[in-house]
Amino acid sequence: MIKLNTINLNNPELASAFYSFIVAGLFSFLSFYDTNAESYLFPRIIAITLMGFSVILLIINLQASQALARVDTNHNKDNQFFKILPGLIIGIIYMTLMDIVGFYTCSFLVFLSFLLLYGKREMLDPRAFVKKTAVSVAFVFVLYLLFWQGLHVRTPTGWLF
Amino acid sequence: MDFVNYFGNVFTPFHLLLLFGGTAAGLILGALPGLSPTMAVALVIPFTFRMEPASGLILLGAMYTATVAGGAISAILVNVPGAPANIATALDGHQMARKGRASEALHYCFLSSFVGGIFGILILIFFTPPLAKLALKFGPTELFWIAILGITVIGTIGSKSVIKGLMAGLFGLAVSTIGDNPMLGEQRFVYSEHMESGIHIVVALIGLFALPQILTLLEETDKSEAGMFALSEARWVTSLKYNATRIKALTMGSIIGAIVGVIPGAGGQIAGLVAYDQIKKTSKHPEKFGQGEPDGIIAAESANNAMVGPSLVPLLTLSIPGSPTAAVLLGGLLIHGLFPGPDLFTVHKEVIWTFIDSLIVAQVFMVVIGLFLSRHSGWIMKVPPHYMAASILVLAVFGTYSIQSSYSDVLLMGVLGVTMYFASKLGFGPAPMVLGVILGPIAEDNFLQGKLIGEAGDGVLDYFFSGPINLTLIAATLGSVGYSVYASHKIKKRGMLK
Repeated sequence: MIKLNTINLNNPELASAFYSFIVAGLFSFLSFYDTNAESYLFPRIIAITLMGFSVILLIINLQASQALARVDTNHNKDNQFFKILPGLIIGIIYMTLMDIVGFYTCSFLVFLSFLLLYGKREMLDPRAFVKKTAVSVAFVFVLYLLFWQGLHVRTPTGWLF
Repeated sequence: MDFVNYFGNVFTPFHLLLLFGGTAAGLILGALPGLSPTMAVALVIPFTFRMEPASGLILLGAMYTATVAGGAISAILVNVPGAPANIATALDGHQMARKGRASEALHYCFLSSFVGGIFGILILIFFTPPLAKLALKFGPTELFWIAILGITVIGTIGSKSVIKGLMAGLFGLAVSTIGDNPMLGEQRFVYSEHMESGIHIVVALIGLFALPQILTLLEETDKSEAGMFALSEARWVTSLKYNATRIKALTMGSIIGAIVGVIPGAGGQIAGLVAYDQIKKTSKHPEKFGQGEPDGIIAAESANNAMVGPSLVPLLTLSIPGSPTAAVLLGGLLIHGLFPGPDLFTVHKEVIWTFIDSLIVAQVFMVVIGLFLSRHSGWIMKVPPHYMAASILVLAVFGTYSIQSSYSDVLLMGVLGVTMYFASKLGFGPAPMVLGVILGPIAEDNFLQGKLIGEAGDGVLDYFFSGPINLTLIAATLGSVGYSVYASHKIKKRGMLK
């Protein structure tokens, strides 16, 4: 018998089982609810198999979690998330704006933002800022020469190119 | 001896330039700690899209060969293997570097990689065409089971958890069903205009391999620089002479690498470690291993490069990749309209033999550039992770967009990548998922064809579960799952006993 009060989603194995069960359930729902059986035959077979595996994974991990003591919250994980968060936000803004502002301008700004935000904190050092700006310009310029001029690959030009 | 006839195609200025660029880039990318060779090859695929198929494959092949060897640079200099294939190299290579013999260790690494690499390609040349003829006997059900076997093998043997590996493959198959039904044309799971065309293979490759890598690099930005040992002066001719005397290590490494390479899903990590283990066990001085014994490097590096050629044997004949990077290469073949099997060696024989011949020339470039880098590769170790992350992000977005000039592809790549990053934190690997996306359409198309033929004949179940090839493939699929479950239980038991 599984005791519900011992279930701890900070246990990564149990969390993976739980989340995969939810995703498998969602995929099953989307495959079966209000869909054409013939067209959705293959996805339905995948959904059933996926659901079966996710149930097995959940049972294995629930049993294992009963046998183990509670796992402490992993604070390191939160730190990692906050570390990647600025990069993630920059990436989302990049992908949203590249079509509107233009690929090369956006790429330059994104490249520079990464160099300024991560690594050694040297934002107030004008020499470091100039160096990082120069590297970003050079990178985007090489990309432009190689692909736009050389291979004639067209990217979104937007307002500013 | 078809392969001899197409050697001339490799020696055009453009192809030689591609081989040089691909090898140099592959060695440098392979050497960068934290960048996986699989990601490096995935990132290059969009750039081959506008090339002739042979040219595109030459570039990808050169990258594949070089990234495996390049990983040894960081393994030796900073004790951080550039790829899992170089774990065994670090054991003695780094010890040699600590003793001031880093350049010498790198010489052994590239010279033995060359020997192993050439041996592996010869296996590829002589074993692939007969095996490809076997694929002539394949109908829809056999092709369906082949696709399932490929996903199962990569999902089980190549993953830490058997069940998660299989689920990752199934998630990949699920993603591949987005878009049109291959027979009825009806759209499925299309909830936005961006999903109307489904998920392009390259979008999945870059999203699943490159974006999680960027986020992982960002996690590492505060880590202090690993201690690196200076590259000492060493004459490569002296290293060559010594290497030539290590026949046992070279032979053992090359043969083990070739055998492991042919086994689908096994990869260079296993090849290197098994070869290292065997040469240590059969050595007169096993106590020297782990203290800077050149034989350790020679066996490991000849093995992981000997793995490259044979890993393409099941790929080019049966579309089952021998390693995660070979799975990416499968994507490269498919976007150029080349489907593994007998057609490759009849209809497309010029392309495929040019590609295989180019792998031999790539080995020559690899050893020459590698020996040069043995004296001048210190700077590679100093590239900060956030510089790599920024470059990969821009190249990933550019590469994805350039395939179909589609903004939707970029958004889908972003969504897949971020999802894969969090999924990898939960223990799901990208390789089975990518293979699911690549082989999904093949599996579904053949499943539906088989179903139609079965319904017209003795029944669907009978059609899918009869015939020697079908039964062999089903047995291999179950065997792969069974073996992996057994092996993981054994490892767990050992861990508990310890």
